[in-house]
Amino acid sequence: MIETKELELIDKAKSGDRKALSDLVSKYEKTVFSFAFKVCRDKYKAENTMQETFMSVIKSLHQFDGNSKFSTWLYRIVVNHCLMMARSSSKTELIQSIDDEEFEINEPMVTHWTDMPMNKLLNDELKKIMDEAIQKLGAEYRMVFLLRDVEGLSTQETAQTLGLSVPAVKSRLHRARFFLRNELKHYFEK
Amino acid sequence: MSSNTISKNNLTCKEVMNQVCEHLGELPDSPVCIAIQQHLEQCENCHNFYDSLEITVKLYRKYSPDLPEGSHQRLMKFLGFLPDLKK
Repeated sequence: MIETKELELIDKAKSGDRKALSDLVSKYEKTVFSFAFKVCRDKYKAENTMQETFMSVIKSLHQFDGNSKFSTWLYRIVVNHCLMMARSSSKTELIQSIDDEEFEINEPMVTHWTDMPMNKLLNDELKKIMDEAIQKLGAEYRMVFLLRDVEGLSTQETAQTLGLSVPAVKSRLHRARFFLRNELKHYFEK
Repeated sequence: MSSNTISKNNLTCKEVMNQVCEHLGELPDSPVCIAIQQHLEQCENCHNFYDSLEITVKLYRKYSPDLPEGSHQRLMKFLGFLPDLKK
């Protein structure tokens, strides 16, 4: 159920109140920029995607019926813009799909990675590895991982946002987590 | 014990590693989850593997950039909420 205050803001924005529309944009700009960055790992592209996303939001706000959270509806729009950006990018995604054999794990010896706090772990070298790893994932896996694990949407909301079934979300999430973990493994176990 | 009941004794490390993130967090009280949790408590290797998955997710969650300087103004201008001073 949408919070009453947010619903009032959305209703005002729908009726043409520009201050309400501007407040709505301001409320979600960080969310949209952050998500777009996590998809494309490029601040310039993320800012462009944020601008195009909010332009689409303004054009189609009248279609928002309140049956889902506003944020879920917004994620659907930003996901579409991120996918368009990804398609127009010349960079080829290396992993379009992950076969069963590729993601099956059977490690006889797993090293304990670290007890260091996250903010100390996140240095430039690791960020670069993380950027490269997630860009190797096909968009269909990347979006599921980002929406479900990073943005914290429920499995149901992720499925609704991406137009997938719940089992498809679970399967892609499972594989994306394994793939990313394996890419980072070399950093922690070197 | 029924034939389809899963206990910690009939889950191998390979099975735990391949099922751990599919089941944990979704249905924590299911027999598979309970069996996985029991296995994780007793098997250092699988525990380390599960920790590494959690660290991976937490790192991606933590790695979130701030809005670039001036991007709010540029957005407002792009959407027509601010006058374009160059015109």
